[in-house]
Amino acid sequence: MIGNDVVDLQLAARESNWRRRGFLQKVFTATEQEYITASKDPNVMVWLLWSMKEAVYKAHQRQYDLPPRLNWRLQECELKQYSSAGVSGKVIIEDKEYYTTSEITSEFIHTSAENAREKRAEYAIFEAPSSEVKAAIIKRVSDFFSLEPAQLQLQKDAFGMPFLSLNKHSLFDRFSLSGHGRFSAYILSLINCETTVKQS
Amino acid sequence: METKEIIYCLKKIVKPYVQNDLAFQDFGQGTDFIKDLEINSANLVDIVLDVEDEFNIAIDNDSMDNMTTVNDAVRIIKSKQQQA
Repeated sequence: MIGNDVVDLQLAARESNWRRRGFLQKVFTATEQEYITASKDPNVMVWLLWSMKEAVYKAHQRQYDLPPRLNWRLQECELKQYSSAGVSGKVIIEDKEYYTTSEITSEFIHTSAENAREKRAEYAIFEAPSSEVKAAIIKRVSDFFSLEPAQLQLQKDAFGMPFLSLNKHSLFDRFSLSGHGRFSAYILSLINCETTVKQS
Repeated sequence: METKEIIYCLKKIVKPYVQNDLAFQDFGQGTDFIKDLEINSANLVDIVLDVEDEFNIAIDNDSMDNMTTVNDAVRIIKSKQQQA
């Protein structure tokens, strides 16, 4: 399964003070706190690790049908490769492994998480309100299944996970949406999906 | 502390982080921080820290894990206060 998370760095700086007493200890493990201390840009490191955790939890939630939780330390992030092109990492949660790739710019950080080592998902980031990213994913999926966008409806399950439905039946759930401040993003995987849909 | 009093304090703590003002008008035991108030997840950390400061308690990771509604928070605050 897959998950994603976008952080608007301007909004994060305005709304969250990770330097307040206790914040880092509540969210990050000892190893992760070392990454932050050792980093040349601790602010970017904090939000990078944060987006990795959020993206991975969404994938994990989807995979095992779990409710939202407030337990960021359950996940242990490991950075594999850190370059200007991006960051790849591995995150372990409840003995399950997820692989992440993050894009870092001066304005945002976006992380995609998958439970497979090879990258299969595609993602898109928009500097636009969430309505636009929702329209874009509906268009992408309806094109793939040879449907009209108006036939698909974006809904949320009891745990707040989004899915697309056709004629009131769930059609597609291998995607994730994230929005923060100026940015909205989706990630989806159409690999191994049937391209024909039974139309009743 | 009585439930009513705890909810009153919680409402003050949560207020600056609320994204859905309409849902905040109905703030009560059943209110969900994420689903109803649409609070950013990073601000959920702030709420946990604010609750610790306000009620002078320590919330361990296991308790924090399912603190997603006002009801959960009240239950956790009460049990921590009894331990103190």
